[in-house]
Amino acid sequence: MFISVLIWVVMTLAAWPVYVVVNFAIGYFMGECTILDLIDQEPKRNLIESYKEGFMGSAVFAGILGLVAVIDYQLLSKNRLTGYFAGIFIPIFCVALAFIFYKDPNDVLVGFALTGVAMWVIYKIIDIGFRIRRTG
Amino acid sequence: MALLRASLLLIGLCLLPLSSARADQAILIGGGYNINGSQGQIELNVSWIQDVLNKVNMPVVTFFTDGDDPAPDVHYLHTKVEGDEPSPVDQLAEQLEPVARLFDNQIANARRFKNHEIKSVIGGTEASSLSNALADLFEAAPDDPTLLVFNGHGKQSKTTPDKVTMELWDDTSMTAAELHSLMEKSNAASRFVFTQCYSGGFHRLAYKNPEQGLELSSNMRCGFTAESAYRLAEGCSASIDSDDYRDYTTFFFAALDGYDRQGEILGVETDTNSDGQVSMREAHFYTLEYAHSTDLSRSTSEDYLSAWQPWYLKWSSGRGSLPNNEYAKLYRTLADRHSIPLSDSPAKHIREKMNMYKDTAAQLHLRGIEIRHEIRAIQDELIYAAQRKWPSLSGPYTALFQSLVVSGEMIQVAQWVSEQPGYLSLVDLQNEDQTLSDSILDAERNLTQMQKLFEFRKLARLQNQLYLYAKPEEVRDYEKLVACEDSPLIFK
Repeated sequence: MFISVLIWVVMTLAAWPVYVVVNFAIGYFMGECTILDLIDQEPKRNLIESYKEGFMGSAVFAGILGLVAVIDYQLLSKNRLTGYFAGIFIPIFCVALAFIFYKDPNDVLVGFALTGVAMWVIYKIIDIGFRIRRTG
Repeated sequence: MALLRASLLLIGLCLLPLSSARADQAILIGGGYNINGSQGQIELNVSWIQDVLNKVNMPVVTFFTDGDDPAPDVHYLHTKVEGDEPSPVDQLAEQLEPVARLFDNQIANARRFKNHEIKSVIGGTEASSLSNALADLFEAAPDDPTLLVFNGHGKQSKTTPDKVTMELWDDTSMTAAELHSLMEKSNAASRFVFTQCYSGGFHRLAYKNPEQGLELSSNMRCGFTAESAYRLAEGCSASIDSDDYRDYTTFFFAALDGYDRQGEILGVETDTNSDGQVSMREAHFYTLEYAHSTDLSRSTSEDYLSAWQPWYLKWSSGRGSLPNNEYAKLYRTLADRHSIPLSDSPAKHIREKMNMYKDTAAQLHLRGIEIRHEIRAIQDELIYAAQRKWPSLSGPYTALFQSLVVSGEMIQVAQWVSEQPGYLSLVDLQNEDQTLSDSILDAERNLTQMQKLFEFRKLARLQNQLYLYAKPEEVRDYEKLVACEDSPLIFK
């Protein structure tokens, strides 16, 4: 129960920051990083305000992502065979978000997919970390 | 004096062609906040804009610095013209140049003051008198479309963009929010052109609530600004050499007029849709394309697009090809001009060039610091030697110092300074410092062109996203702003 709650809280809180970092990294490596230009050209308070707006606006989706991670954990993580695939629903959910909410998903697909992968890594750290503790 | 000024203003207002028929009027506000902030370039800008507006028979109401007060209100830099007989002051300035250089006053030594020569000035720009005059104008002709143009200086807001200011005469100021409340007295559509630093905050004039929100004012307002609410604008140089002009006004009004400031016909057709008249939006696009300056200029509709962008689009990294619209076209034209390959990772190339210009500017800044250290060392050495010979030099504005000036001994000091071995190095270093400032400005102008390319890419995507994601009323508002901007100089 504790691990499930922990996964939900961590996933919910980390979703937006991870999405921002991933998209920033993509933008940085592709050269087109509008956020970098905003940092250059506008006061930081605007950026912080916009970040907070994103955090609040995405909270519902982040909460559902946390829930998906918990269900995934309960269904897949406790069996040795399915444990290998545990967390797979996280990137799938992220990619699905791009298709459901964006009219032109191609533009944002990579960002959502990589966010899903990054969130899956966080999930795995919690999952494997607690598994080692249990067996150790 | 204040009573006299108020009376003259009232008489002037009565003489305005305020007929019952609705007609366009232009309100031209110009000048600095005091003599030291009132550059000759602003005066020439205002005079030129008056001429452009007069050409299309638009009634122009002009407010400039201290109005009709004969006291000096403009400064400019004296430049030597071959063949011209120098005035006694210019001769003296030339003789005293070594002393001026010694005390870092060479620019002040070239500075001259005069009263403005703007025609038909109806009043000054001191905030309270200007505020009253504008209120009278809007109330007297509430149905007349207005074109409001400001040429001067501005200050940044530490809070919301509507608190940016026009810096007005006598060190007074007016915020965008204050002007917004004045413009509420008019029922007609208004356009505005603001070219000062941080002028982007004045786009809030277009909205119902100047502080925040996207709901437009019930009276259509749109405009063009040289910069965003957060950046300094180019211009405001004390030079009156018109070849130096790179500010927004120069390009914008040249596009509307079809002629540049020197009276030469423009090399390109600014009426891009060939409808027989140049709209303000066409003039803005011409400026965006051709102004090689440090201005990242914007229109109200562009400001609207940036303000509209929702969080779920703002923080996503834009990918894929650009949509086919006017901003993408502008991007391609400018990218081509700066040799940016359009097919092979253009964003990466732009970013590389951008970083290169940033590095160049940073290195030049560092060299500038070094040069100023060297200048300081030479000045200290020469000042020490000069003060041993003329001890009264150490106390300017004292009786002994004054006697040095009155006796004409200061000319001897200047002569002595110019004969010192370090003086030639000082002149060379000070000239190099000036050249360096020009090089820094050039690097910053190049950097801005790269920032423009990113801005155009962003706007191209934003315009596309607006039609995909915005509510119908938001699309309607955006189109209203574009239509307002697309109007010609004479609105009706």
